Amino acid sequence: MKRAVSLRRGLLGMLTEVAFAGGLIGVAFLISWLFFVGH
Amino acid sequence: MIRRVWREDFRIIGYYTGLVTIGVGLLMVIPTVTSLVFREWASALDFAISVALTLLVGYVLALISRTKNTPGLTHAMVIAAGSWLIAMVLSGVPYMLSGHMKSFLDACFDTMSGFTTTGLFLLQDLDHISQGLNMWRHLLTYVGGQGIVVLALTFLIGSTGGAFKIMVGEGKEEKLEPNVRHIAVLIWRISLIYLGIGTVVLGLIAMANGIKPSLAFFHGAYIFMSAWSTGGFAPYSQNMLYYHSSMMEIASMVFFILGSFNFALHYTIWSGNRKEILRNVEIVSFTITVLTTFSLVCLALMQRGVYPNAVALFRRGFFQLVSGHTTTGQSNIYARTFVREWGPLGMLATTIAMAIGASAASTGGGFKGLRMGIIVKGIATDIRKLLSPERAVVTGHYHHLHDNILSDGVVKSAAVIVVLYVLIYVVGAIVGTAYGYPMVDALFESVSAGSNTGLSCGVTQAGMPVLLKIVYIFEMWMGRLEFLSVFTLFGFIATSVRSMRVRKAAA
Repeated sequence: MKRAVSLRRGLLGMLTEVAFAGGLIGVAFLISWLFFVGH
Repeated sequence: MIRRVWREDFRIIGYYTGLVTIGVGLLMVIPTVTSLVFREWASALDFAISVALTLLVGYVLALISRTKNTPGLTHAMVIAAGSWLIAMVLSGVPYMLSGHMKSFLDACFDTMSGFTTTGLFLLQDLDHISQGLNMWRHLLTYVGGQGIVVLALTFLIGSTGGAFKIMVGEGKEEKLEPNVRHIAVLIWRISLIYLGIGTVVLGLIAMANGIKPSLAFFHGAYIFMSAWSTGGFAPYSQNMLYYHSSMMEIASMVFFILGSFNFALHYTIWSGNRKEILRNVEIVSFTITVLTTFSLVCLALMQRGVYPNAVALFRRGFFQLVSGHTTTGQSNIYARTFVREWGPLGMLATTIAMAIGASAASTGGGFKGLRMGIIVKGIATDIRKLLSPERAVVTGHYHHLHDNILSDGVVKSAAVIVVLYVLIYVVGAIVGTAYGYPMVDALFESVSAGSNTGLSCGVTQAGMPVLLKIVYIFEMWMGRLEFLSVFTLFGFIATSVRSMRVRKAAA
């Protein structure tokens, strides 16, 4: 049980990290698009 | 008053340095096996000789200085700084034997660049080196990112009282667990889990891009090791440009962003405290500085009309910028493109991003987001003090794993390290400019070396002046170990010489 909880936490933690990196990349794409449209 | 140096001090330093050297020798078995698998007999022999030599040096060093005493703080700092120098020299042997280096200094440059996760290289004809040597290059960055002392702690040293101090000397000062061996195991567990996932993901993308399956997963492993350790090496001289794959670039970008995180942050998030990623001062600082410097890059590239659409602007501009900010150094443009197309503003924005760098206790370099955040908070607190009534008590706080009080001592320590980084950046830039390189190019390359990034605008090549190579080696070494252990090593050498003179005079 304890091992399962630990595994679930690890997996969710990993997904949180990947989601953060993906979000940052998405915001950066938005910035480049805004610069291009603004230009 | 500085204490005297005794024979036992040399024993402790020699014994632990010997153990770390044995660790490096055992690591060389992996590229030896890789060479055997690919039937590269000459390369396998190069590595067999290097394994034998490194194990011999490590074993003799540990044997002649065998001791049961544990290291104190001074010993730990000297062991950390000294181990990296010995590892640099011995790891250069297979490079030299491969016939792809012009001099042993160049081999040392490449191994120091590998261990410090910088990514600059002087190796000749990279596109035709053996798989064994390619494995060794990427393994150096992967192990260097985690810290070679962390590796030795995990497998050889165990839980001695002084082990945590050696880790601090190597720039990994976060105490995640009471037991130092557990900290080392945790760091390795996080890195190995991501290694498995990264190799599969990047290997599949490589296969989809037409690389044959037997090689695709090696490419996946190489690119992952380079990205996660914020190293910047790639199997071919064109670096990420070789793959012409936006999927490969995005996957690699995700891994080097994650690799630039503090190991303590990974541990906290993996332990269930997922909100920490939005509150941590390093991540907040990193997000703000990445988006600000990227806006400057966009401005520079739009002014010069370099890219025809938003996708191209994002793909080249953001990859390069975030590769610089996380101190990775992977590149999807040619080195001279910085000078010819990006121009001074684009290069300056990337230089600032490289100078700030990644998180503390991560695989990355630079003066770190934690220090940046602390200094900015310190300035804000000082302004609040000036605006408050004289009797008011104003206290600053910052959130790193938990809420911390921002004392003057914390701000001062952060500022001192930042000043030291700026100093090595400036010294490297002055030497480069003195040799006739344009100032912007010299500063860019110096910051890239000192922050352990590895992006190049074309200064780093085998024909560059010898002194500049030596300066960059020192920048990479000092930048990676964050100065204190290097200064302690110099101080220890000076004290040893003085102690010997005193003893001679007394005799």
